[in-house]
Amino acid sequence: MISYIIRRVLYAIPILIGINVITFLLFFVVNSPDDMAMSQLGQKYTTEQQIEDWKRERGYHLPLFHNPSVTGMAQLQETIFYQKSVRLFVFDFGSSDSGRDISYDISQRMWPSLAIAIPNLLVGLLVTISFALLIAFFRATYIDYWSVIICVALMSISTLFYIIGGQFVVGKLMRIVPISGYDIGLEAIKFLLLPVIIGIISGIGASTRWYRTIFLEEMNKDYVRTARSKGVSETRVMFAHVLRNAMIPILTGVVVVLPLLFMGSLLTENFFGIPGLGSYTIDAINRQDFAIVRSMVYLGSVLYIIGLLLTDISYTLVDPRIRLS
Amino acid sequence: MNTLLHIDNLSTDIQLSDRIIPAVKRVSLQVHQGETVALVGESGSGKSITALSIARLLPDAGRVTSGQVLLHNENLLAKSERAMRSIRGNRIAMIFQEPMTSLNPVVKIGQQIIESILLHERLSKTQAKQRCLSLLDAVGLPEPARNMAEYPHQLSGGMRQRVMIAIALATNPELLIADEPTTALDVTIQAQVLALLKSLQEQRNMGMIFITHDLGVVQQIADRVIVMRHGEIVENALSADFFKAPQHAYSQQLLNALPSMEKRGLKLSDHTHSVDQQNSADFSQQAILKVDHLVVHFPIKAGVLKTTVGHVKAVNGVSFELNPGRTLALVGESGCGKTTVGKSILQLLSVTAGAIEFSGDNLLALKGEQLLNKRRDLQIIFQDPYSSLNPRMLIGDIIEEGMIALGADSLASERSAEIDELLHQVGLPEDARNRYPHEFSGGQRQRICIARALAVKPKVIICDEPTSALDVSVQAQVLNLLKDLQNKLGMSYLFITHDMAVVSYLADDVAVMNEGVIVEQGSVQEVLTQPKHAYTKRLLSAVPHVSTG
Amino acid sequence: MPFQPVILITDALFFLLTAVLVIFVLMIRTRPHLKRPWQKVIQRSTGAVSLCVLLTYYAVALLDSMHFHPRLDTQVAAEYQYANEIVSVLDVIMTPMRTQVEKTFSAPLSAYSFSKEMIQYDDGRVEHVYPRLKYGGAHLSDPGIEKLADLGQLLLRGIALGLFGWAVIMGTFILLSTASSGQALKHQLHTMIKDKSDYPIGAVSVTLGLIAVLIASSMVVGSQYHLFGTDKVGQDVFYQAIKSIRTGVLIGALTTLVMLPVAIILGSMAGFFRGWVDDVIQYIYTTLNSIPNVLLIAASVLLIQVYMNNNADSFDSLTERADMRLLFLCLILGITSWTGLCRLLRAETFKLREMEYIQAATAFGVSKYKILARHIMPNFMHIVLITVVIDFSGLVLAEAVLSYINIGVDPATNSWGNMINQARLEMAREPVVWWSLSAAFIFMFVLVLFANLFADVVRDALDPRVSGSD
Repeated sequence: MISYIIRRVLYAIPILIGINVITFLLFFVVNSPDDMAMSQLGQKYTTEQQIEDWKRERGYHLPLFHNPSVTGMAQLQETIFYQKSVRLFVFDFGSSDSGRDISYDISQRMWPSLAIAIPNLLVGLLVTISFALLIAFFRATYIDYWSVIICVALMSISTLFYIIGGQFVVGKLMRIVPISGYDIGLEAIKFLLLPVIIGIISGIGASTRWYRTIFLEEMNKDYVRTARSKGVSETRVMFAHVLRNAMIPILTGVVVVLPLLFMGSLLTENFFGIPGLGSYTIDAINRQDFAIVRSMVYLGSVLYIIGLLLTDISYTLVDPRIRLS
Repeated sequence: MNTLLHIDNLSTDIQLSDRIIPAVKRVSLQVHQGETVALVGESGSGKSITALSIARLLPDAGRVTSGQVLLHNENLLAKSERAMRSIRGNRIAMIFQEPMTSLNPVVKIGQQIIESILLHERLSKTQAKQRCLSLLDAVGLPEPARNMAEYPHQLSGGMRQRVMIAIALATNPELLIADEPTTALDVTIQAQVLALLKSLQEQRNMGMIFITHDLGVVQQIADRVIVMRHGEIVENALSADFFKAPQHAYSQQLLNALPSMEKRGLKLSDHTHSVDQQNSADFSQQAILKVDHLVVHFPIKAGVLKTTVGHVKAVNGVSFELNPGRTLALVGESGCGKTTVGKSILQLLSVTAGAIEFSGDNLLALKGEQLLNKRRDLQIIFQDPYSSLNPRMLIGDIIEEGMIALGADSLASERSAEIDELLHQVGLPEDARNRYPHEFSGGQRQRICIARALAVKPKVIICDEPTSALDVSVQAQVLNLLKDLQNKLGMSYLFITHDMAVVSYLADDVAVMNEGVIVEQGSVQEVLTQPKHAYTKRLLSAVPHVSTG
Repeated sequence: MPFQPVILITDALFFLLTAVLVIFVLMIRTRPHLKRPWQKVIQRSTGAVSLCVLLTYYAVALLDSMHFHPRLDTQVAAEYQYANEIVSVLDVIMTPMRTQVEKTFSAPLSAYSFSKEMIQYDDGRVEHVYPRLKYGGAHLSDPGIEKLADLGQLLLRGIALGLFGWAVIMGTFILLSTASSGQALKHQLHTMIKDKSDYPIGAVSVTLGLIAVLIASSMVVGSQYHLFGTDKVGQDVFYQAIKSIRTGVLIGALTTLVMLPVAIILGSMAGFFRGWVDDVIQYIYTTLNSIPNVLLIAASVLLIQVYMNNNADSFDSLTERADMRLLFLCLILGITSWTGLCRLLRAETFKLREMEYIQAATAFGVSKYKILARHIMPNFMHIVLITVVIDFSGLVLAEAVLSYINIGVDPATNSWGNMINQARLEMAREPVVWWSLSAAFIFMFVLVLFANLFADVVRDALDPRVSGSD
């Protein structure tokens, strides 16, 4: 088990290097810092000097890989690759193009993101699993048939409409909760209620349908027939046998996204004006702040890799058949 | 005797998306207390559906359309689902075919047994646990206390089937329905499980419905035999009478289709034609295939850097010779390495050590062109008729593929004529070449595989369990065909199988494999009638043997 | 020539895709084992109806992809002059909706503007009123009295036209099917009316009838009124929503075209050759997969924006520029979405290569690449098809989200995402401007819903685990 985890962590290193190289290529080679500067400053009427200043302020004036103007190790260290990419390995994100400390921003903004994402995930799971169990219980009836159609219809609606529609109906027509904004402490709940509910509703269609498939697949297995032949009631078959087996794929599917919850939801946070990492990212994209986007790309990848590792470990915890070696 | 179960005029339909299949048609039968009734039939005869109808465990698509199932004069079909639950697992218990999938994989064995006990009896948890321990002991698990806390995947197939039996017997059922309980097991394990079932049944005076396709098992265990075909009962007789003088033509055909030593040289299922037994094999001739100290090891990898920490010794020094025009049977139970030997002869996997000499050349040393030339002479027929044909290719193209790959010089028109000839030889209609595999039955597919192998005119064909997935009557046809072809074309067969009856009928020589080595080899007469090695003796005594007349 | 054809890059790819689809359909017609599952798809009414709707969308997209420069009336010397703008066949069909641009917002089917304006009359009087629209209902002298009757009349005319079109289609269909089945016309009609055919002819004819009536009446009414109102700059919203179909369909379809070859080749190679080939391919897709999709797309689109800003001169027209961006978006979406299919195909190849027919082929000495091409690829094609159909709807939805956060198609391109993006701020108006959003919602929902339903049917028919066919 431990040797497995060590191997997986070792395996993550080349992947992190790969991600680093990809982001480096995307951000500094495909487009040179000059291009970025021009694009930021507006390409007409910008002088060489303005571009040079812009680059110097943000540390983009250095050469890409090799700096001949200094000596020793500094030849490699005083470069964009070292300053901007290699430092990501130790989570040194540096400062944004507008001069703010990215690490500090992240540490501040992850809490609102989590405040939405965690209840969204947990309540969402509870709701969708209950629905899916109910549908699976009525399998091969009209209830099943129409539930699936409704699920397909629900998942055919763009998230944008759930958010706009929810905001409009609840916030504007009913005036129950504020449409957008955020506050700290308990006050936050009234701001979080609407985004969480909308988040859950927008995910119901796809998840319910998926879980239903998992349940039905389990229900066709031989051990279910064995349980029935023992005289086990249908309810007990569902909860003690089917659910227990079906939770393996469901839980492990959830575990992989757990770390990514930190990243927040781009759309929800943007719409509801919640100062989380999602809206942070969107703002950066809209402002074309490359430093922040680059940091978020790297952070997201690391979290995803952690998610993969956690998935494997969680398998061994919930499935007695799997022993990692 | 007291009538335990009375099935009267039972009919069951299976509703498919586009049509309805009448799976069971007006079946009537009785089971008495302490009696074992064998329900025999080939695949699709409706024997399993009958069993599931009794316990009302039909799949969603199944529906009983008429009839009664009376357990001590109570009609089970009229009971509420709730009342039925107190009967299932309590008065009627079931065992299924697949020990690997029939147990819940994430629940401990002990819990699965205790669940059944607590459902039907008012016992405390400790009492239930006690009962569970004694049950596991009764079905012969080595360490009941430890086994209780284990998960199903930690046990072997035979052990799991014992656990299934323990679950079934958890509450003293009056009727036990066993649906092919030993089909997935090796013969030696099968013999143990059968003996266990028999003794438990006698102890408890249960009625038992034993569903199987294997007449040898039937003779060993059954008091009464009921033969089913196409959903109907064709014969219902006492076991002794049945094997002495089967009444129905289909029953006779089933018995005649069984391969055995006595039928050597005769066409199976058809006593009128005798085949020329003495084939043209010349004993002085040199062996065409010589396997010398063959070793195949698969590495086991572990640790941080996935280093090789050991080997699975699949084949561990196997030597044998195959003479032209002869059949050598390689016999053994699952996991003994017999299939690995076959595949390594064809270079389908890499050999660790040893030599394979084919008509004078060491195959292992050949490369490229030379190896290609030898491939023409060595062909293989596989076990599973469904996975051995590419579903996306026409039969004609399948047969032609080898001809093109191995003999590029022939003309398309010549090849076409040859394909017609081959299809004729294996007894398939001529229009078969323009059809796809899914249009053929299992037996026909196996004929196509034979035609594919014959297409390149091989000198040796490796037959890897070619008939074990087939019903017995179809098996007879395929064995007849193989025998005919050998007589006509003079090929040698390396016949890999677990089935002693097939060996005794077909093979000239036999090599018995166990745990990667050959424990005994010699002529069929010698080995089967006077086995010397202990393993061979055990194997032979475990085979359920059908004696007729 | 009355026009000068223009083939944008995405047009060319779209035509290529259409050609591939046509060839595919012709090919499966001759192979019973390929034909059977598709027959099953259209024998189910859900499948047949969804296919009708999807084909309608596809046809609109196709019409909108035939671009040209229209000829101008002026003629210099013997040479014709062509307009600088690029229009499509669809634009020509929808000319009234394209050209009748109002000043600003107007509600659906309204004859008046949405906001009050100062109007100075000839007699010097100045009034604060809702002015009449320049085009919408302009032919009426008093909309308050005449509009309903006029709309009813237009609607009836549209329905009649639609039914006529439907009758023509059904007539052709009946004649063709009679000819191909070789039965008497009377017998054929009898089967169809009694609904005895294997195919859901009833459901299909109702669907086709509905589609024909909807198209005809919206064209008739739309030429005199603004069916879904107008947006901030007075553009017809119905026209925008229809024009967005091309973007949606193209993103769904072209992305697939981009990713398929990569996923198929890499997936089958990884599964078949194993060893270091497998390691390298796995490394590539795990790395790509670990970068959150939205961020990778955002980063790439940002960079393309920068590139395009700095090289603005290299594009002849705005249309071409927008087209390049659409193509890039498809490419990027393709890069982020091939990994899933690649992993599926790798696993399937892993399974397939152990199949006995592959071993038989090896025993014949058939070369590895031939085994890949003849034995492995045809046997995982059902997975490819299922994935393509399932991914389609996801991509259409993704376009809207990406355009909404400004990393989707060019703001000048008509797309549902851009419509939502522009309209969402108007939700705060009093009274609400709801029509742009609703139009985008309806058109997108219908496409995605039927794509999803179709995907369900296709999966049921093609997946051997579900259907039990090979």
